[in-house]
Amino acid sequence: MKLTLSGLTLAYPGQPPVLNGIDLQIESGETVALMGANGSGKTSLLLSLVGILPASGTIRLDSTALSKKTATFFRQHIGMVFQNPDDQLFSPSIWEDVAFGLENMSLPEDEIRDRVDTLLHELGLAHLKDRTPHDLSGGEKKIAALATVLVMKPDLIMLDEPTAFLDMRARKRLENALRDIPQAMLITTHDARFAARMCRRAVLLDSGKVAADGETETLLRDKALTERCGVDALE
Amino acid sequence: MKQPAPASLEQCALQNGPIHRIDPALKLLMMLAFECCVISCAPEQICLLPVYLVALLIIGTIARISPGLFFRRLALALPFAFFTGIWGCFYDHYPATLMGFTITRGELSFLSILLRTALCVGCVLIYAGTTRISMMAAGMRRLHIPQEIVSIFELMWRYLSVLTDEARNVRTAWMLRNGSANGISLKYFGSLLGGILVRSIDRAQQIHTAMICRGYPAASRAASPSKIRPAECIGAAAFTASCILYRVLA
Repeated sequence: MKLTLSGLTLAYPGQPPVLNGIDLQIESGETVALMGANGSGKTSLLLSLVGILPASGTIRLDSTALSKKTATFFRQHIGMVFQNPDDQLFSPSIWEDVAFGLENMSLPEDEIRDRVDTLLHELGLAHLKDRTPHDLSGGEKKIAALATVLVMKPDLIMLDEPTAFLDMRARKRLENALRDIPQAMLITTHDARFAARMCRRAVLLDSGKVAADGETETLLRDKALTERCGVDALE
Repeated sequence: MKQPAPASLEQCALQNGPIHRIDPALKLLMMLAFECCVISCAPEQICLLPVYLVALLIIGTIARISPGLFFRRLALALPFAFFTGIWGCFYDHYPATLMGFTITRGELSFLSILLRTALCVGCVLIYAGTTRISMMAAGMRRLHIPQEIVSIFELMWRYLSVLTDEARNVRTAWMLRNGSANGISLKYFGSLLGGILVRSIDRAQQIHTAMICRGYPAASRAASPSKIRPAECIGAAAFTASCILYRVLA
């Protein structure tokens, strides 16, 4: 799997562009942190990659370019975990929520059952499968939201602020779950230490442009760069 | 360890009982047949209704729907029937008999409306308590109900919880800043209601985006129930035929 973005631009009429000529490549198995100040275009970039926001420029997954016709293909191969798990979990039970994506993929019922049960067991959520999402703690909701995407076995998983609102224990549990994921990941975060622990590579955005792309530790120790991009520096 | 009783019909629907296993399309047809038979009973035929009530209670028991939950939900619908039917008592004083007692035709009509409403709503509650939402939608698709209607049904169900959540949050925020107040005063009600609506639309959009990201709406969704077994067809046909025959012959 190779995701290639060239000249990605997104603008709303009468406003400065949210994304301004982004060039980026993500290879199979890579974990990349996408960092920047609030409003720098992180979430917009993620939503553009699955065709939710109509950006100009080219987005390619291997040799397939994103278009209206291929949007479904992209959504099957690129999964997105939203910042607020309440937006992601909308079914009456966790089991049904995790099965939702597979049902849309038209898989046979037996396979859906197998995949959902196995994943819930692996993530330690099996005992919660019949619970309504509202009953879960913040940490459990985050893991459940991750499960809804993991079960579809995408090539790239995008996580929007995965550690937001989590306490230390829930963060560790989420980190452990993320470490076991073999797929490529694109993680937006404001948490510099989390980014340094999880991602070897970071991309820093500033006003819709890529301000820096390189090794996470190196970039986040550059005080001038982090100051300019509005992200926390590593101590 | 004893399992806690389901707190909602959605949780009841996750159980695996004999009624749960019936194909959702067949259940939908059986429900419609039952309701048509009940609704078509004239007030003078009120004596037919207890048999339907017994049938409904037996099905509810087999479906393991908690009686407390069932009657609480049923009670929500009855005030509407009460206020619809009560007016007949004031205007229609023509005499009628019920089990040997002389009452007015308005009162007979009132009792009939109450009982028929209870039976129809009860039947819907049992359907909701034995069928998951995704399976209800799959059943509707199997019956070739237009996709647009099925989608509206699915989305309405999902957004209902969004609206309730937002309303709860706004109410809590209001109460926290209005410790002494018992409720939301009319002066602020309009603006709070508007706020709830705007926030609900925002959240509904987010949820819709999350659904699209996971492939919704797919051309053909696999939440389709497995093939209908002959035994299910025979059972459903027998139930439907009994309802209709009883209605026609009794």
